[in-house]
Amino acid sequence: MANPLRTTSRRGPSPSPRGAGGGLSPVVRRTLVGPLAAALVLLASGAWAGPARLTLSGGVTFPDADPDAVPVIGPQVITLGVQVLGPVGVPWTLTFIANSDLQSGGNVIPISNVSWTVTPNPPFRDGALSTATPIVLATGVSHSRLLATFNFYMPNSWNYVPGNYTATATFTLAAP
Amino acid sequence: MNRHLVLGTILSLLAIPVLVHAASDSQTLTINAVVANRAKLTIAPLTINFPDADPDVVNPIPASENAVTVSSRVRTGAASVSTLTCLANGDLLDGANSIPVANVTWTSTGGGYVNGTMNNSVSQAAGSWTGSGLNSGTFSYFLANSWAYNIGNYTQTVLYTLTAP
Repeated sequence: MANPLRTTSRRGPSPSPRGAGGGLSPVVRRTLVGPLAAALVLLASGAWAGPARLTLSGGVTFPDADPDAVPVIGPQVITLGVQVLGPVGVPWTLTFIANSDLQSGGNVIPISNVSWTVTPNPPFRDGALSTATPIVLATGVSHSRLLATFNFYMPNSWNYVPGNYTATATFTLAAP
Repeated sequence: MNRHLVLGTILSLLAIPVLVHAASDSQTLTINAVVANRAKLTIAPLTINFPDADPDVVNPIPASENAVTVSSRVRTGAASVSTLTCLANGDLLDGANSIPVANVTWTSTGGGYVNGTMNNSVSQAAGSWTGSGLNSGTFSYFLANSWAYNIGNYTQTVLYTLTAP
């Protein structure tokens, strides 16, 4: 007669006669155990740092100019928003790589001619574009909400062949 | 092991790549540059003088300002040829007296520049280049001396034209 009374006490004050989770079938409860455990492991290890978000405003267009009067063209200004949410302390990296040189038909201006200064510095870093190696623009740890202002420059030259040149470059934010 | 627990674990493992993938983002920046055709000619100084001299001792007479510096800067197609020409506006004149402008010659230094003789009817080649670039050189001017010249202070202008197609 004592055993049924102790069983009732362990189920606590649940309004359900079957206790907490009692409304779920045993099959559903057992199925949820795995995902919940995995989620706890992920959160504890910091493996999930998302969402990571980049917001780009503005573009870069270097206008034509007399190389004698304007030896360096710029600044061309853009802003980049960097947001990394998720567990505190997860490292993130922002890289930047050009996808090609500046091209106009068969004519080329090396993309390495394009450089930038950026604020705030640090965590962001000044540099010049490259098609070979992603340049680490900044590193940090979540949570992070940053707004970077880039000033892009390009040296002017009489050696440039006339044309409308274009190239793209990719910012990548990763929080592994 | 309970098969439902196994199923749940599998579902959670399938979810991991989705969660990890969400922790990256990228943005593409477009970079444009406009480069227009240009031609820019610089000659310094812009006035030269031939001093008086004994024709038996100094012939030809070099300009006091030799060597004159010249810079031809062009932006043009990679295979396009830019040219520098000069055309005198007349003979050297002092009132009714004249000295043929063809008595003035020049020598040059610098890639693309050429030596020549002044002419007031046909433009004379002074240089040519292929493609864009900054072309620096010098011109040194000379006047053939002669006992036949009437005394006076002669003057004339010459127009230099740099053309980049």
